[in-house]
Amino acid sequence: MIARLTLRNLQAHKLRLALTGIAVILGTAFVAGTLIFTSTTNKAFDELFNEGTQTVDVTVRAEQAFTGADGGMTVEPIPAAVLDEVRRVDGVAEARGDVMGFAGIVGRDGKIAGGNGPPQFGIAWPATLSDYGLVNGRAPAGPGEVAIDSVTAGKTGYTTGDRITIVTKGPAEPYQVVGVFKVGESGRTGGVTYAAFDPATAQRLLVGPGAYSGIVAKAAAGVTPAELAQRVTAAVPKGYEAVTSKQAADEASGDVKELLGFLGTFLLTFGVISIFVGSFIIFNTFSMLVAQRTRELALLRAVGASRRQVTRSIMGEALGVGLLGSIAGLLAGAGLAVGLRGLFSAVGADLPTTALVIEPSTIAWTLAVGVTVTLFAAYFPARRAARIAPVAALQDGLAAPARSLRVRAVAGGLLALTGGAVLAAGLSGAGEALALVGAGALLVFLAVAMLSPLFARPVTRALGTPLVRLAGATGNLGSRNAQRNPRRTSATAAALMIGMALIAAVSVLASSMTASIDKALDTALGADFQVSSGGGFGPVQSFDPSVAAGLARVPGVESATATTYAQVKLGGEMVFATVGDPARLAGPFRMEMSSGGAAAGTDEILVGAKTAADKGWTVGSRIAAQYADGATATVRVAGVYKDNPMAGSYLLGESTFAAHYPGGQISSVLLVKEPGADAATVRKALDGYLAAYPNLTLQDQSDMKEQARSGVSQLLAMISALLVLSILIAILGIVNTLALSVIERTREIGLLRAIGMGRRQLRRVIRYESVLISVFGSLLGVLVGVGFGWAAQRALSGDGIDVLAVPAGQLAAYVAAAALVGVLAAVWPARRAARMDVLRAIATQ
Amino acid sequence: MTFGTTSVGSPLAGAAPVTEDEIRSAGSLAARAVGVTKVYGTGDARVNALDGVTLGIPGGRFTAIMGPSGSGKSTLMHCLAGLDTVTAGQVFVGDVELTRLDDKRLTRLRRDRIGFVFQSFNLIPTLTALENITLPMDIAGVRPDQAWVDTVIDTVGLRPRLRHRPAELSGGQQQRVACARALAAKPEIVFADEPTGNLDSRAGAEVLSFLRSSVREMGQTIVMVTHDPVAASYADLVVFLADGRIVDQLPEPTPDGVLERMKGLDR
Repeated sequence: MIARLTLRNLQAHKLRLALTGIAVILGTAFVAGTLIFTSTTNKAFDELFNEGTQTVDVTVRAEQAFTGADGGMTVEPIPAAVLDEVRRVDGVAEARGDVMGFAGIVGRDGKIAGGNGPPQFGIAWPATLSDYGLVNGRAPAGPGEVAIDSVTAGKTGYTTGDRITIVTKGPAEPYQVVGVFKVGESGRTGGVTYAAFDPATAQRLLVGPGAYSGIVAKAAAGVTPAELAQRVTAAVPKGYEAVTSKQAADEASGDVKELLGFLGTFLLTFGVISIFVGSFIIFNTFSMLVAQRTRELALLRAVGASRRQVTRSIMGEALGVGLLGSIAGLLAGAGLAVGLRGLFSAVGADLPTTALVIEPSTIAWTLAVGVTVTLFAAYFPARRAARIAPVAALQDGLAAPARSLRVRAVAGGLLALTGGAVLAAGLSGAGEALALVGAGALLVFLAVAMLSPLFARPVTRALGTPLVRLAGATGNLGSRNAQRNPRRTSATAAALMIGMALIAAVSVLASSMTASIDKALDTALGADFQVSSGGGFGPVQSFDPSVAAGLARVPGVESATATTYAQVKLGGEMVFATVGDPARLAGPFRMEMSSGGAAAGTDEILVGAKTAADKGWTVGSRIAAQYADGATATVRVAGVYKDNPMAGSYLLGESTFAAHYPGGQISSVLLVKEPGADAATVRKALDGYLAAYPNLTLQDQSDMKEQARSGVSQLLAMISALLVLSILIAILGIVNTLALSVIERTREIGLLRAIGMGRRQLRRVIRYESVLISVFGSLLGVLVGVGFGWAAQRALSGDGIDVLAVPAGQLAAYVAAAALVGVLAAVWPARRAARMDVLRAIATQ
Repeated sequence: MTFGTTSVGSPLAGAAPVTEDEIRSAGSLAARAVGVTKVYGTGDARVNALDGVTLGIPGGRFTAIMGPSGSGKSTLMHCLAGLDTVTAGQVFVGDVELTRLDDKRLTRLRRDRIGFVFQSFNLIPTLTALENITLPMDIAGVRPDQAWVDTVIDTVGLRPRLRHRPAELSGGQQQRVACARALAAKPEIVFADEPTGNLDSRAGAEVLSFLRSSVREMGQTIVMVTHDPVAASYADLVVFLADGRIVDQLPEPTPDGVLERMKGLDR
């Protein structure tokens, strides 16, 4: 019986429940989409990495404790002698030296093809033991000849016979494309570009004459890869190791998967936000449905339905909505996964693809999350429904007695304090910092949503004052309607508040970052120009130090100082150190020593003042350290310099870097022009020199600021775009509330129309109410968001974000945009209201 | 077969039937219906709510429309007031033919020239009594005639309650606010649909006395639909409807006289 009632109700309130369902769909779709996207991409990477190594059993490489700043692009070259030793190992059927390094193919637009995505590889032909097959042309056979992979050929439009430019660590050189080849069985490259040279050319360009970047070996019959790896490791000189190809592939894909894991978590966060926002809509819709059905539910109780049956009937509806919404969300999620992939390739990050992978766990999670959230959100209204007294069936009017807000005030206050404390703990970096920050923020949101009915009325009244002034009766009615039910207004506004708060917080943080970077560059950058490789999303590409020497000879250049970054394990902690000659860096970085000398010899390090104070180090302190090649040393603090945002906390000398980091590549050159030299003239000369290096960019100080700023604003735009989904859900909530209010106020609307209110005026009344709710929500959001942003900036002030900048104009624009959102949300409910038949509306019970 | 009323002679001389020719040519009638037919539904479900009604509403008089349930009295009022459309025939308020107006013009006409009092739910719950009274003028964006509004408020005796919300007023007070609203904009004609239907007899009597005095003292034209003989007896003329046709009329009604006629209609 109750089940039948539930079904009938689901049918009768199709429209309202459909709106609720959409909130469930949007929330679950994002969760499902993220899960499908990550499992699909993971599988694609698995396929890719395994494909490349199927034909070899063992890989020999230089031992490395950790990869450098360039993501492992630069490796210690292996001398040819090691290959001979590997060949002599019993059980090796075949061994070949592999040559691999950076080689960027310059596209027709003058930029490196695939420059923002995965790495650009140069290889020796044939690359490994023959899993690269020529599609057309022939193999490269001498200097000036190259073969490129088929995917890159397709993208750049290059083909056999074309003359192209390729950049390696040296200057760009012209090459003739003599062939196009396919990578592996499938030809998929996952966004990596390949340029293949004959072995001697490849060695000269990429590793060094006669050297290899790796050695691969095939086991003889009866020898397992693991055995072979052991034997080879024993045979090769110290500093080299052999691992099975599977392990090498796993390690490589493990790095990628870790990255994907971060990305997945990042995206999933937005899914959780969407669901959280959606739960407000679900809660509000069920509350309103219960309020509107008070008499019906009371009648049920009067004729003998138990409380439990009433609750069950409402929960049954919630289950139906949750289930249908989640299933639709799962399907929408599959579409979203495809969209995400498109988004990534649109920003230049080509990810390998394979058929969509929908794991059973994805289905389970999506349904569980959707149904649980819906049931949870509907539980409170359902419980309220059960408390309706049977006598309510006999009473006229639906006016439920106003419940006291005192309990709410106390509970909300406590929740706010708890949330604030958890947030503070998270921001101060205690334990699982990110999880704490997230939980704290959620609690604060809940608290604000709980507390907002306390001030919804005065605030909407104040906001409505100009409307009443300007729009008269319609403004007054709209404003009164917004004040009418503070709980409803608040729950509706709260959904918008969350999205707005997050966007506002990110905006505050972003502008604080920009301001901090500006300040850092203003105070610490003495260099007039900087030359560095492209940047973008990919790993930092390093280049040959000879570029610095070349730049130093450009007329008008007083000094050209090479620097790069290196990871060092210092006292058990992994840190990034700037690498360079302290004496030479003093000018471009405006470094000032506070104690010790501006020189760092082998196994010596300079430390920033704040870090030194924090760690209790002074000149002469000795710290245990490990370098990238695995070597350990006791490092001596040779000097302490005044805090310098350009140099960072640690500075490592060039000799240490040369000894323990492969390749000796640099990542930027800092240029100071001669005093009196004309900046434009110098720039022109530098541009001329750099024409041979399409992978390098020349920037002056304002370019650097601009780059930092655009990086920050790109991040802001990306996060905002992801948060727009939660705004969308909030808009849906406003639509839902208004539509239900319109139904609830049918008689009132009929009366207004009867005594002469025009349709247009009626639409205006609803629009004003909507705008007031939206602006209320966005103001709450901006306030909470500025609070969050401020807290985050304080927490990060030690990490270089030491300036708090509140982008007032931007925040005001958000509130204005929210008003527009209100206008949009009102369109449909207002049209419905205006279309109501006057007589039927008056006659409605 | 037509009945009508007109104000021949002095306003206090009571009402006398007017001829169909007089109704067709307007004259001093505040509103009139000419051959109005209203059909609901089609086929077997077809109902003739109004069947060729021709009726004149004289200005400055209190006219009651009576009839048993389903007689079409409310439909007639809705058609006269521009709330409903007619299937055939013409409806005029003053010299404006409502049946030719689109929704926008009808709305404006209701706003500017007609006042309404409904049986229940007459007031906007979010507005105060005073705001409800001036609402039609606020909607029109015109400044209320303050002296007149004050007169109306004092006549209904609501001065101390003006800042109250409808929920804080008794049913009788609410209806008095509704009456005040209907009169405040000085409409040409006020339509009241069972205004005392939800009130006890004392509150009902207050409202009816107020309506009558607004006719007598302010020269207001009022049309009231009711099924209560006592309420009808406050009118200058009672028009009886049965099966969508005007079947009788009674000037200077008394409760007993009205009851007598009603019994005749009920058979």
